[in-house]
Amino acid sequence: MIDSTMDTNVSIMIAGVGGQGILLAGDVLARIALHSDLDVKKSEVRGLSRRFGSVWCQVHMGRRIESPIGGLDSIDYLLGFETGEALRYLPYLKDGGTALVNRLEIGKSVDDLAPRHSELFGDTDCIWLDGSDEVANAGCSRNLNVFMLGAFSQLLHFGHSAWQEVLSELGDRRSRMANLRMFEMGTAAFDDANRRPVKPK
Amino acid sequence: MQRPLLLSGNQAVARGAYESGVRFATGYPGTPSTEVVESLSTYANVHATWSVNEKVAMESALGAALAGARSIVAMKHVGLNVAADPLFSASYTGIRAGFVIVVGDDPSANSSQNEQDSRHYARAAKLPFLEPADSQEAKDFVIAAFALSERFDTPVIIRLTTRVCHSQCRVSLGSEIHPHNDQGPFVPDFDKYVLLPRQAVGRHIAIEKRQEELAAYSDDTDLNREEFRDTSLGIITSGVCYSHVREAFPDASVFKLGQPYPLPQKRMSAFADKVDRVLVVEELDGFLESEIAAAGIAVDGKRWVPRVGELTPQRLRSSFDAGAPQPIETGDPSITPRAPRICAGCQYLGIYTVISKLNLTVCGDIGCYTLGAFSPWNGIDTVLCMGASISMAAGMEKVGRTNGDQNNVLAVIGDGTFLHSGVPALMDLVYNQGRTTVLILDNATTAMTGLQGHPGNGEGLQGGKTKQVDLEKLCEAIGIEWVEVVDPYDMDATESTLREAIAYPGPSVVISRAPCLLLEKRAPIRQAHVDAAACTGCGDCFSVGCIAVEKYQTNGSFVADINHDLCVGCGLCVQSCPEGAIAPRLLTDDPDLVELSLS
Ligand SMILES: Cc1ncc(C[n+]2csc(CCOP(=O)(O)OP(=O)(O)O)c2C)c(N)n1
Repeated sequence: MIDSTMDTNVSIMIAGVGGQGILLAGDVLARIALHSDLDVKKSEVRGLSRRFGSVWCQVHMGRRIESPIGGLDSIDYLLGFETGEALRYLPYLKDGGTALVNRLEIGKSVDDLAPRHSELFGDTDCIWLDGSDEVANAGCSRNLNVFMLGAFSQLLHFGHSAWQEVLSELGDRRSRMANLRMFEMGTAAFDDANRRPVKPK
Repeated sequence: MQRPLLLSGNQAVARGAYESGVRFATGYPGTPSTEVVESLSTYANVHATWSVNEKVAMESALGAALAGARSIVAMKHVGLNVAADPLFSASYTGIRAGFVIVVGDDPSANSSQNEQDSRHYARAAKLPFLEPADSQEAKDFVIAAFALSERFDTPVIIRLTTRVCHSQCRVSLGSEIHPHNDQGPFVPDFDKYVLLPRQAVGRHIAIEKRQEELAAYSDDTDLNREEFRDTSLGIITSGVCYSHVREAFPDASVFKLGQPYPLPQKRMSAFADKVDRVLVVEELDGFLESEIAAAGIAVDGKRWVPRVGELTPQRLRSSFDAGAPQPIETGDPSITPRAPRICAGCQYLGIYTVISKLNLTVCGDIGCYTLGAFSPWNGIDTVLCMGASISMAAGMEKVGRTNGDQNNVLAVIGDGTFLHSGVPALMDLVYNQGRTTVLILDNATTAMTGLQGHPGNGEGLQGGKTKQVDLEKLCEAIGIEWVEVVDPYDMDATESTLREAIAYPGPSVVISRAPCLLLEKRAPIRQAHVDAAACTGCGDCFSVGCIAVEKYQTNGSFVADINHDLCVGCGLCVQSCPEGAIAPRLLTDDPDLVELSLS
């Protein structure tokens, strides 16, 4: 958990597949920093990759941010919306950083990574979530991004009302309701996952 | 005070133009600069348009500036190549009202066919350029650029890079009261605006003098800024590299160039005298380094600063520590790359499935359909620059066909690209008696860059239907005597039409017509279903390449399976199945099932 004074800057990288709502999730993070009077810079992949390609987005927040982008071994938190993409961008996570990973593999049905997950993530402090299953069961397949934010919110110091305020700025009334529900579900899922041993061996 | 807003560099450029009282904005879409014009189109009092290509955009914006209104034109780096002709001569005519040219370079070629460094154009065309480091500067520098433009009677280039264009940062807005800075209607000035040989030489003399004045201004302006810290290391940098330098070398003294060209030589020498060692940090080419070295200042830079690919603070630092350029940063290379994909149900799936059967050399072009170069189709052999498919195919065919042979070269080009720069190539094909077949993919939009309008669909940027180019009539008027329109969702008919076109002893055009699925995010009314018992696992349906057709493992073997979150019911996989194991099924309930959208 980052300290509430934000004396040190925080960098977040979201990785996934085009169409998973990655850029929107980055928007939410950037906005909540802005609302909290923090400096913030957000970078992302635009253009072709968004067509089901590998997509990432970085948000840097703190008292004063210089570069909008962090390179290898520099990111504090990696949010993986898809397991393979989380693995791809793992080299950006710094030593002692934390990864939140959604258990989902897109387009890998033949060469399944799943049995090797814990091995592939090595010593990384990794919190596993069944986000895709949970949002699908709740009939909100499109809201995985907000679910993941809900989980991640437990690692940031922003208050619940700050999140609600930002989330309520997005989408129409119907999607706002779904967003809020999925956010809460993500929060609960994080607490659940965190109670279990971190690395299932 | 108003809370700062989060704006991308592109949005901030637009805001700066608005605050400068810009009246005319145009450009041509292209990542990373597309949102400059898109954002400007939302402001009142700004007349914003998409031009048919960058050359036309540059010329019409200059026309507006000569007619007295502040004007701005935006394009991606390769767009400036298309607009290079008017660029060089606009330097000679000068402007009346301020004229700003925005160009977005793309280090790492995230969405581009090359990694060119457009700063060379500023030097070659003898124009000043400003380079903002973040969104706040993007807004402020545009305002400065208009003032500079009018003060020195010159177009001014704002050079951006992808990272500045697409990073969102806090921006404090300026006044919304746009100044009345129109220069009044056009006033003829023969020696300035009519570039005949004698006039051109006269203007060249004026431009050389302007260069000297701009260099003196560069020594004066606070767009350039020295920051003294520890003086054992001094770093000269500009643009987003400034922010990387601040992280990678927090203690170093920095000379931040907001106006890198022409260079502030005097201040640069003074800076160099005050520090023990001078480094130059810049992405792509050693543009500043060679300018600074030419000014007689000893510097170190591209010996270790990478020329290829984007920099980050970490890559910069590790290259410095190693004394050699470190490789471009990507994710873990052992994870299978995930290339972008053609959308489920797109007409291009059917087109490339057919093309891959024809055994032709295919000259491709730039747009979503470039993805046909990937497997399973491997349907494109060349991609060069916009419009090049037709001309390259014509050249290949000229030397590749001996008398009487059947033509075996196909040009594939999108409707947007055809109108951008394919039309002259088609005229050339007819004029020079080529025999190439041209396949125009008419999806009624510029899909790849985000569904912009173009003359083929007649959608104006600020709303309103305008005239639509009739592609068939255009081709006929050019002199193509064999033109047919096909429905790309009927693969058999498309195949036989293409075969006919190729056999035709003259130039031919096939137009594949179906609107892009992203134009109307309609829920499907039917979807494909696999009868698992009938599926033999032959894999023919995978050759269509649709992301909605998946493999489903059943102990040892597999069958096809349709992902119903993605399937739009186009029926292409149904046509591809030799066993009749895939069938369309009507969806009667849950009309909300699928929403097509980009992330
Ligand atoms: C000179 C130049 N300008 C702009 C671009 C950016 N760009 C890439 S593809 C494209 C348009 C594609 O439109 P179209 O040919 O209709 O194909 P679609 O994407 O709709 O399939 C543009 C503008 C470019 N690559 N080169």
